[in-house]
Amino acid sequence: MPGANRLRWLGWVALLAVAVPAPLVLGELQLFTASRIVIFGLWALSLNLLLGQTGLVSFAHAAFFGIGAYAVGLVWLHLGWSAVIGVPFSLAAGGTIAFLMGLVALRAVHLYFSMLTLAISQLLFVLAFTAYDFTLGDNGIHGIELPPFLADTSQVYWFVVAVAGFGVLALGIVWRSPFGAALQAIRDNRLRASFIGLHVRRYELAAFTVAGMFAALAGSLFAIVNRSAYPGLLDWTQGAVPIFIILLGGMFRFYGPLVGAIAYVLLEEVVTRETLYSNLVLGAIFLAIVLIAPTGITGIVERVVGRLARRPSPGLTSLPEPLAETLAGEFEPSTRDVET
Amino acid sequence: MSTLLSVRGVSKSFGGFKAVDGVDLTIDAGERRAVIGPNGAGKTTFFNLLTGLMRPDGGSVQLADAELTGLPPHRIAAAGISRAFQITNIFGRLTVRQNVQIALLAASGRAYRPWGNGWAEKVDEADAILGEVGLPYAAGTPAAALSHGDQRAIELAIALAHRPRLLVLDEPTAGMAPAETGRTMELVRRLVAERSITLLFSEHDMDVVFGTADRITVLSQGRVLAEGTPEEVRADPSVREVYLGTGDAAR
Ligand SMILES: Nc1ncnc2c1ncn2[C@@H]1O[C@H](COP(=O)(O)OP(=O)(O)OP(=O)(O)O)[C@@H](O)[C@H]1O
Ligand SMILES: [Mg+2]
Repeated sequence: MPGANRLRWLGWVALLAVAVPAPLVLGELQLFTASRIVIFGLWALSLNLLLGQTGLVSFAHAAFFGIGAYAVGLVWLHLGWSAVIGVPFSLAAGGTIAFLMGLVALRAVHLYFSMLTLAISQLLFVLAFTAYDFTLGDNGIHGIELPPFLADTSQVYWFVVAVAGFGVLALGIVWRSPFGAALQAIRDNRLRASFIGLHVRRYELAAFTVAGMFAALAGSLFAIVNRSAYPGLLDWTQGAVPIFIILLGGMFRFYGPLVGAIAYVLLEEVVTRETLYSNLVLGAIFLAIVLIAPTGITGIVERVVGRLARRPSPGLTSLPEPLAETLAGEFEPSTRDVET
Repeated sequence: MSTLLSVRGVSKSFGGFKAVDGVDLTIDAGERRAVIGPNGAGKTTFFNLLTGLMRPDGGSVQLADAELTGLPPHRIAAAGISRAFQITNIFGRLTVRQNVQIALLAASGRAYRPWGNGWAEKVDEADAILGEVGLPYAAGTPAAALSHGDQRAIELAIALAHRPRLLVLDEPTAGMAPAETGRTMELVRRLVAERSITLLFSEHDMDVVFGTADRITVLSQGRVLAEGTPEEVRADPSVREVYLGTGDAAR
């Protein structure tokens, strides 16, 4: 459908046209909100490389976000370097730790893999908490100083947009590449993928590493905007945020999590302003999405557009498989005694 | 003729039960070999041992001069064996064309590239294969949405995309209507001949077996009961007793 392609390009151009000049019209608080959208968007996009594209449910994504934040904080605290050095450094730190974690966690499949990511990321959380001399423990690192070129909110915002833009571009290139296509095949049928000659575990490890890199990049931007890094960022329950965003936006389109991030951050603001029980309300919305619209906002829009174009789209009516499989605890058949 | 596949004494037990019990099998290049036997004889398990789904307890598997014993599926695929499954095993959310594209990409050894447009590659080649298996009309449909018979055709297309030296088909016509069965086997015979692929298949339909195989190996309770040309196997009294017992199955 060439029409859909043109629409997609138009969407990206519109996004840039809104995101770049935003500081000229928005106030300080609103800019802060806009930064959150950009950062959470990048974070969720990186997770969706695993969830939507590879079918891996990782509970370690908060850990990588936190690692990125600490990359900024620790570079500033211990080395006395500009905090901005921590931003590229976060890619290396997140990638390295993701690679090592993946080596261990990917020895298991499905729910067991998810549980291993949870266990290892809690280990990192405790480490951040207790290594007082290195991380300042539960106090966290606060008051991170920024270089002169990030003196005011608009400059910080533009910096965030530029770095996140690079991240989105990189993830987009990976998503549509042959490597990305292979990940989709692995998502659909891990076993058959190995029989057509794909070294499944190696592909999954590569995806896990890339996802960790860009989650950390998002975390480093969080530290720049908030000028702090603290252990709570690594807590696995924080990992619910990007999962929520992905489900809200839709996991089967690259841009789904970006749409989800806009919806999530705005929703969160409204809900926390209007009610005392924000988590309860957000939880109810989450449940409603999973039950009623498992393909998220992009899925709904596509179906409506498809119907208007009198072209039935093969919409899903059930829970997205990777998540459903994990929730149902459906494991690899035990007949497989050779690892892929 | 030169030997392509050489299997020596492979075994596999589940608990104490010997599903495959010291099977020898030698297949010449270009041969079409059927493996038959009653339900539970160990045909699928034997194929699992050849293709890396399971590791044999003992014995060896060689393709030409390459030692394949105990290698994982992706290494065996790279060595030139491709396989279709008895129970349809495809990429459900990918489109029919993408199912073949990814098999072609994987076979090319260049699926790892994290740049370029993945689904823009191998389109023509994939469509050619879809044309051959009779599925061109469905190229853009998610594979999971197709009928059982069409999914069997995708199963075959994925295995063929690989351009294997040895093609292993586990009951390629399982669950097909008689007309579909005839067409599918005709296709298999033609493609195998055109591409000089060696064929190893299991099948319950005796018309299919006798119409396609150059040689037949009969398995029973995990062991080789008999081996020979279709005429020899048909005439073998022990085979008639164990497998063709009712007599009229072998027309
Ligand atoms: N993973 C497994 N665990 C335990 N037993 C198994 C397993 N796989 C196969 N078996 C047993 O091994 C025996 C051989 O099974 P196999 O599937 O190889 O037979 P088959 O010849 O392919 O039969 P069919 O014609 O029904 O496809 C059967 O008794 C089966 O129950
Ligand atoms: Mg079988």
